[in-house]
Amino acid sequence: MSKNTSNSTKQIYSWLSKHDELTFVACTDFEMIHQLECMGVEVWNYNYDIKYRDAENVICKDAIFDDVEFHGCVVNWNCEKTYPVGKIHSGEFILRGDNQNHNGDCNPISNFEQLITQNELSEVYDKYQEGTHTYVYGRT
Amino acid sequence: MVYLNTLKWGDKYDSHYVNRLYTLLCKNLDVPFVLRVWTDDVKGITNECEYRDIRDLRPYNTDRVFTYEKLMLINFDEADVNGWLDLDIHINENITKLVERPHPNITFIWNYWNSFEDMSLKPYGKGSSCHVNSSFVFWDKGKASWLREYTQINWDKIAWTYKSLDKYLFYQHARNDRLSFWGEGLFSNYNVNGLSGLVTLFNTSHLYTNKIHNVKKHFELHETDLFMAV
Repeated sequence: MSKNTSNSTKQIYSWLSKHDELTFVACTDFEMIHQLECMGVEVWNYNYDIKYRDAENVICKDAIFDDVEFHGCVVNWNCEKTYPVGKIHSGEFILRGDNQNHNGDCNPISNFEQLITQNELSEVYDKYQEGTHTYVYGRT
Repeated sequence: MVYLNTLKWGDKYDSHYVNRLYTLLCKNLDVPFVLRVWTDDVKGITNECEYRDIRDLRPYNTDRVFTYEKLMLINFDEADVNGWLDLDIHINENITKLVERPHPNITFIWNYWNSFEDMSLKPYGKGSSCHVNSSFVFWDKGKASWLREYTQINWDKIAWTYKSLDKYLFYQHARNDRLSFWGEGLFSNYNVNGLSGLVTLFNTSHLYTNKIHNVKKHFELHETDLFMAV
């Protein structure tokens, strides 16, 4: 059976494509990032995984602990694995997290309220849930 | 003078663990030392050790960052040379050269007994890796202050993110080459490569903190002949 992701893909793309600059945190969906860059979006992609030290288009830094600059809307693609980025930066956010509780997940995400509260969002533009993933778009 | 520290709380390890560690140190360390036992229960512990209250190492009320108390020993009434030792280690040979050598930076164990590529590099991004072990750690007076200060400044983020001290050290400090490590072959893990090197670890705590049950039997020190031999 093929996986139907068309609706979610459209929704997340509609959020992402509203911005000229995006800072991704912990995202390994390089195909999506490439597509955004082809659309003219300027992307900074932070990932602490040392496997990507020599990878093009990846800034191998921990966006929570290291000294980094955030540009445009900040997209935390794996909120279940990090301290809430909204606690260390103010601005617009696209937040995605899951509740799979994998070994290494410090912050399993089960609902919208968690993402909103943890990241101290004052306004929510949009939100949806798909399978085990919760998505929130808003600002502090 | 050398200050050695060990932590004992709860009921996982009894006083016999402390007393055997002290006996092993007397046998295998040729410089004057004090063994300070940070504990919630002094019953049965030899008077040759100095007792301290474990609560003095707990400024944070948390069940995260398992054994973070070790870091609170830094900048806390330090001697010229300072160390912390886990209770569940066996000292196989004389360790004087490890203690006497300069420690210009705080020095930890690197898990040479496991393949870095398979065990830590591949799953690195998941946050489940760990190749640092804090069972036998030394530093010279003032040379680990940076770690205590970093931990204090970043505590909220650290406590949110890490279940254990070793993971915090691995992901934040080994990643940025801030830690020093003992040489390869000085330490072994009884449950992986048996008894070799100067000191052997049993290293079972991560199995509990990560709820790992589907692995081969891992022996605790007291389940081996080594325990009663001291």
